[in-house]
Amino acid sequence: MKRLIGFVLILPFLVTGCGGNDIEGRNFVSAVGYDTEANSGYEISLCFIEPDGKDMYSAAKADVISPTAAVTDKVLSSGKRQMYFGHLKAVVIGSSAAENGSLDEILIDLSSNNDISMDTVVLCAQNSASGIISTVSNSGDGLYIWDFYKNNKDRLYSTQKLTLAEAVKKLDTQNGIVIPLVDAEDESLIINGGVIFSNNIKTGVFDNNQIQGFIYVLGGGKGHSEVININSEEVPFNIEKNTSSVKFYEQDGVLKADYDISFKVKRLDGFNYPEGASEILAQQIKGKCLAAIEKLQHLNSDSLGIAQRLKRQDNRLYNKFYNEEMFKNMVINLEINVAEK
Amino acid sequence: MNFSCNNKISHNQFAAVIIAAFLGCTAVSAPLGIIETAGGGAYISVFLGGFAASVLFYVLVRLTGKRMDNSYENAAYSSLGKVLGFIVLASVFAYTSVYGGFQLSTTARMVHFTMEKSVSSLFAAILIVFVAFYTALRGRECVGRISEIAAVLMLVFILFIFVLSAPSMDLITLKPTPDEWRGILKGAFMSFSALSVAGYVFIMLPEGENTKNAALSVFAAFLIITVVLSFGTALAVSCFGVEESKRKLWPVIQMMNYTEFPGSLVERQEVLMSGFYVFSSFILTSLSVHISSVMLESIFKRINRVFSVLVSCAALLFFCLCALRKGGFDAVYSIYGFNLAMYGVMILAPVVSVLRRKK
Repeated sequence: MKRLIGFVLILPFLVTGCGGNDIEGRNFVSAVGYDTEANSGYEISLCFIEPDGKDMYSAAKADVISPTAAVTDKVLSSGKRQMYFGHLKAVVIGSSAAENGSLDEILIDLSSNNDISMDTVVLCAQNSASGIISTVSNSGDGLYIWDFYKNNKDRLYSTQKLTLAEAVKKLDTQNGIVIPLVDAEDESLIINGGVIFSNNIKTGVFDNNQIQGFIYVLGGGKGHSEVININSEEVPFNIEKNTSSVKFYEQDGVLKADYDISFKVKRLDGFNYPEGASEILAQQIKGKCLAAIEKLQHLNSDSLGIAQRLKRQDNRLYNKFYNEEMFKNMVINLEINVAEK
Repeated sequence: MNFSCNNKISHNQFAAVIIAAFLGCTAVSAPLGIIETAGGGAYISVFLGGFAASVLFYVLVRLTGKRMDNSYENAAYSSLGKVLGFIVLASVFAYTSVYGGFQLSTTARMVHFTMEKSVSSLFAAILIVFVAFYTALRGRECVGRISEIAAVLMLVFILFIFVLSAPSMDLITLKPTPDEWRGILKGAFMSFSALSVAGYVFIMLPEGENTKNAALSVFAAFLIITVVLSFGTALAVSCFGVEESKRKLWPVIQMMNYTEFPGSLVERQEVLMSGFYVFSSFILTSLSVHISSVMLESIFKRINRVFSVLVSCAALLFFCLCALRKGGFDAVYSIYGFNLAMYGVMILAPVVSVLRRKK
């Protein structure tokens, strides 16, 4: 009996998986880029860290052609080395993939992979994702994009952090999404602006002012700075708080939405603030917000999630007005309130 | 606390066993299907169903506790007769093994996916069963003492996660629309049914005259589980949205992983989350093996403790292996269809026992 128990106790150690790859035998993928190839699926670019490379570890790049967007260690293994996605930090959607409607498939495949964190940052490349991944791997260990957001958490002016979880949620509930834009120039990355998607297809691009307006409308402007120009002199304000609320109503058979966007701002030392600076700031912010909303309405991209809000806030109005072009045709009014701290 | 090594548990330990055993497994399995049925209002379903179960068990324990003939097994035979008593005890044995095996397979899968892919699910399952074998052999007191530690650790950690996550909750997604209420009520019923396994409480009831305290322990424990699970479901739906939550195998656990820890203290925190879940699974497996073995001993009077625990471990492992097979997960998950019937089976003996005494 004792021998039998001893044998049973030893048995599970045969299935421990201790024969698997050690850390030195793996590549740690830190960024992945997607471009679409005509008739051959996806060109997936990987920036990965080799733990036993020179200087303890080094970054390298690999390209794989795959019929699907799913990334698995088996599909993407290079030689004996296993590609490990548990430390993936950034996903870059190439312009080609964005334009032919592959965003949905890419993000859902990534989110269904248990290895990949839902906190992974999603970006859209101005041109090819492969180019961005090359720059990332040449300029260090590939963690730059993640560090950029982490270290500038409250100081992002013309971009916002979009995680995989947020992106997938927006794709599921809205007919539009704005993904932060990334571009490469002289071996360095520029992250600002945003790519607008309508029904899963890239339809336009936000410039810096428009993306700032978009962020303010969503109430995410805390930590940003807004600079106004008075008499050729630049005067900055720090935004300490930004809230946004919306009310829907029907008037003369037209669906209307009143946005109430409030700011608490703080003046900085060492600058001359003329009288009425707050009013000028409010006007400037309103201009940016209106520019963002107009562009989204023009492209019929409900990236603000208005239909979803209306459905939850006023189901009767939603049932009455909902159609493909509801967002495009609705009248949106803005009320901007700026209070100084 | 009770240090007397007399196979008895205190009321606090009783509550701790319920929390530690069911918090982890319900966090994984209960929202499955409920989010699909109730949509954004799944958290309301979980709360309504859990609260109804808490009240039901409070009332039942209050009514039956003092009047049961020393134990659940005795009550089954004395109030239902030999044949019906045998059927009830055999059903509880079978259901406990299937339920425990299913939950064990989920834990084993999670260990495989989150901790290390080259570790097979089978290995994780066998290891947990080994520990459960020892704990069950030691009796309910051992389960109670471990649970006291586990419940406190789990609750503190989960509360910490909730405090961190709450400010970023998307309240708009959570506001139910009028056409979702039907689904919410259906989800509440599912949630209520999913807690049928909590009929274990009759078997684990602390011995003694104070049924009021026992009933309060049950109520408090179920209420804590309900609130935590409801809040966890709300956070998961708020983080991922309804559709993505439906696609995820364990949305509540993955939501906890998504929460950002201050100061970047932990890089891959899902491993930490899984650790707590595995801890809960250890308790549930031990409890399942203990209860199955007690049922076996009451059915077959002559078998000894070691043999009954070994058979219970084997039965649980068998159902776990079935669930780990391709397509087996769905098949074993279908046992949830019997949930409501199990409510009846679990409470039949105590209720009849009370009714007979009143006469």
